[in-house]
Amino acid sequence: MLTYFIRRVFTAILTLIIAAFAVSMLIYLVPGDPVDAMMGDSSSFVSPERVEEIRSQLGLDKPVYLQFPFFMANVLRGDMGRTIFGNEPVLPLLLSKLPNTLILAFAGLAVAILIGVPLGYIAAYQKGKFLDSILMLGATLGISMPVFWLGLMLLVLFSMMLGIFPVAGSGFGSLVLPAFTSGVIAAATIARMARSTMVEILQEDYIRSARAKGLSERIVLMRHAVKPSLVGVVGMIAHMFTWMLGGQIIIENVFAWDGLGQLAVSALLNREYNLIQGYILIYSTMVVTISVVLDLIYAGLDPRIRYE
Amino acid sequence: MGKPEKKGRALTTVVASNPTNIETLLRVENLDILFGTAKQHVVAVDGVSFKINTGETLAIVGESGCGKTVTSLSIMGLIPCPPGIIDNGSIQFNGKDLLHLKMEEMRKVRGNDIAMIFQEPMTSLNPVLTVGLQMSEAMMAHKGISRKEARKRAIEMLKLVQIPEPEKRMEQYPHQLSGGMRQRVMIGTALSCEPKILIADEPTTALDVTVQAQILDLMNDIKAKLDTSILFITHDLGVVAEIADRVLVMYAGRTIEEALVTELYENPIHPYTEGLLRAIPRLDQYLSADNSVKEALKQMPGIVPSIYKKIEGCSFAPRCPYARKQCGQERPVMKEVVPGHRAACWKPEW
Amino acid sequence: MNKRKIDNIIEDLGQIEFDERASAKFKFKDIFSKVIFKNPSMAIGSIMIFLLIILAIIGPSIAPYDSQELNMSERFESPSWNHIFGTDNMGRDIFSRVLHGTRVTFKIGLASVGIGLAFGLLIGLFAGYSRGKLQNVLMRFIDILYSFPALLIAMALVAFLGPSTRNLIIAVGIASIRYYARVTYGVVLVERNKPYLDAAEIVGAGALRQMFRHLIPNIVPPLIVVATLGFAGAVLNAAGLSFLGLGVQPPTPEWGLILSSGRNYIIRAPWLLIFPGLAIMVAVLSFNIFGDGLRDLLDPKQQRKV
Repeated sequence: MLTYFIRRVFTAILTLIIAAFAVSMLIYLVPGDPVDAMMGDSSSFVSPERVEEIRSQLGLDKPVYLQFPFFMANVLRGDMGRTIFGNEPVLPLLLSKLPNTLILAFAGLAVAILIGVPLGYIAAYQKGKFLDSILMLGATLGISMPVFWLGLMLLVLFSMMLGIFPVAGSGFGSLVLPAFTSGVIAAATIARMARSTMVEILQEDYIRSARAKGLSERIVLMRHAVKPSLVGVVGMIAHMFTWMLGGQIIIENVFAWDGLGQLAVSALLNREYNLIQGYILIYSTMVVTISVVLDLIYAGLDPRIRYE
Repeated sequence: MGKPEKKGRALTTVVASNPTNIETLLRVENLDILFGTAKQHVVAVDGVSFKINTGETLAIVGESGCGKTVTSLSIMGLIPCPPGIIDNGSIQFNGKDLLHLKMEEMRKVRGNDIAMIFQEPMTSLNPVLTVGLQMSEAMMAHKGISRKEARKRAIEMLKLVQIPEPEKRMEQYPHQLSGGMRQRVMIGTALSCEPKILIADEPTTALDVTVQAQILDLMNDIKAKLDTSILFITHDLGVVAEIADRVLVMYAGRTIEEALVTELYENPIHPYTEGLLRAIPRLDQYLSADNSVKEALKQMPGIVPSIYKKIEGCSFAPRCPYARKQCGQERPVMKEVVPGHRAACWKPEW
Repeated sequence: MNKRKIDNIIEDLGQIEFDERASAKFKFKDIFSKVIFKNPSMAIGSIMIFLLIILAIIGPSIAPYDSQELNMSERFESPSWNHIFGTDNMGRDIFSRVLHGTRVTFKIGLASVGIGLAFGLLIGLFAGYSRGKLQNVLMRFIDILYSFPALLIAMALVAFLGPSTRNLIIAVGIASIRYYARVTYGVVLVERNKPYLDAAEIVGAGALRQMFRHLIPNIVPPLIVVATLGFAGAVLNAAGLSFLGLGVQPPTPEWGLILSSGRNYIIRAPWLLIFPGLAIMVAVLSFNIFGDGLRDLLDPKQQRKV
């Protein structure tokens, strides 16, 4: 159990290092000179000293093979550089937006779980019947729907036409629509997964033995079917959580939610390479943390892992 | 005493049985089970009738796909519907027709009056629940006792099925037990509510030969102690000799022969039974391989339901060395050929 | 009797072979009537995809208006017989723009799936086939990529490459390599241990021949499923990136972009958002439905249950 955990943490750290390496190398993808690209039309207004400063910030004044060590050393010191426009330190800026993003992601996840898991289970139990077809049709619609489109439609309907929720902001009222939008889309994926997991489990021999014992249907389902399904379903939920943290880029943009995603989009559009690199690193850290937590949950859910 | 026929048996361990009365515990009559829809279906069980007396062990023998498992599941009310349809027949137990019980009433019979163990001990236990919980829950459901009390009795059951260190086993998970151990747990669980009938569907097939023998010994032992009737389902006539009092042979969804075990071994009537018996010593494996191939192609119509046609005459006729014209046209019914020995074959009349 | 049994076995084995051959032929001949239309999702999905392909080919020529034509006298017209999807802030006909967008969408989808498929297949094949460190390193890397959403990987790439249709295709394609690599790798791992590969080796087939003659035929069916579902995902991701301004650039009529440029007029002209969004959904839905049906059909577990 302990070795299992240590191995997972080790893998997580390795993942982060590789992600950091990839991030540090992204700058070489920029066609032509990155600083010129960043400056764009305004390059003629910027002093050559400033250009040099930015070059050194990006590590471009060093040879390629020193790029990563330089980048890594700075990151470990908590220094991810400064933004070009506004000259703000990147890390504090990112961290200041993190809480909003987490709030939205957790709210969306709650919606996704509350809708997706029960509906998936119900569909599995009703497999082949009318309700199953309807639910799965809905889920397929859900996974095919562009999240920004659903968001905008809900915005038009509830905020602009009915005036129930505010169009933008960061209070509870303005949390409802974005959380619901990302939650519904994620619920569709979760429901499909929960259904297929449960369909398989309901055909397992141990479900038949549970029924043969004369247990009530409630116990057969709740104890014998739901518990084994949790490993798969929780894995899917965690996967959707990382999707949601990343998908916030679009959701936050649609609902003008002041989080990491908004910041990332403006960074992307303004070619704030430092900020983009910082964002990807923060995001990677969250992804890796989730995967470690997930492994711990797995061990709690499945004795076969626990006693490995 | 009550069952003098047992005395002549050489192969089985002597079993103490209820001396006072031979009473029929379970009576299955004219059972027809279809799979599919009303329009397009395959017949899995075709007019099967048999009975089980108190304290007796009846073995149903047949190759895979012959309908023996479906028959046993129908007694438990565990045929999934759809696609399973119980088309005709009755299953009388304790004066009740199990086929007409309400779901809730049937649930009270399952695991309590009639318990069942399955072929695959590996997959029949829930991997994420402790052995202790899985053993106690039937008692908690049927006997209305507390978790603590159920636990105590579960430990006793583990002792009964000869599992060492029962207290420790209670906290373990199925993957920590060996195959034989898991089947013992299944048996212990099934017997925990003191059922009148134990249905054992190929309980030893998935186990090593040595473990098989241990499990059979255990079942004989327990039967002697608890006086439970056993419906033992197997494809292996060798195993039948170890455990059964009476044998019912099934082929392609029909019963074709029924007799006491010694009588059947000494004097098989149906050519299929004859073939099975001749094949036991050496060609046992070849036989089952042959038969399963045959089934997959012809008698196991679950693969291609639309091409299934109802067999007109005797279902064994295409493979029967003695087959005559009559066999392909008229279906033989179960008839008493020798007292206490019934078979569905035209040959004795020729 | 025993001899008879053995005869039976031989006879039966002959029959199996015969039956399998017969059924394989049967399936190939009646692929539409027996396979596609027996499965409702495949039937619906294939009809929808067929219609979409027709639209992508002939759409621009049947469009009532030029997709770029400005007409300041007909700005913000709501849907009517003249403009069934309405017009935008520059008087452009949305229906014509959405029709043109079908071709753009197919172009992006096909090209990015092609990139993902080609590289994924190669990585998966070589990683699965070579039993060394290369395999570990490659698949380790694919695993790491797997923990990030494709949208985010594509976005990071576009951010540095610069937004354009070409870079969008490259980014979405690269972001999807992992799916194809993993499926290929999985199949190769299973197939590698089967005796027929040893047999091929004994006969003298080289590594390349083994891979392409013997492994690829096994990999193709699952890859078709992944590619179908991958096409749906690629369309969705590309639309999302274009929506954010990181993909196709104006004035190309791409669905995500049309939708995004309608955002400023969300109250005044909601049809600017509704129709391109519906178009994205229909396209993605078609491929998802078809892919689901295909997967059910090819999934051995499903077949066993029948």
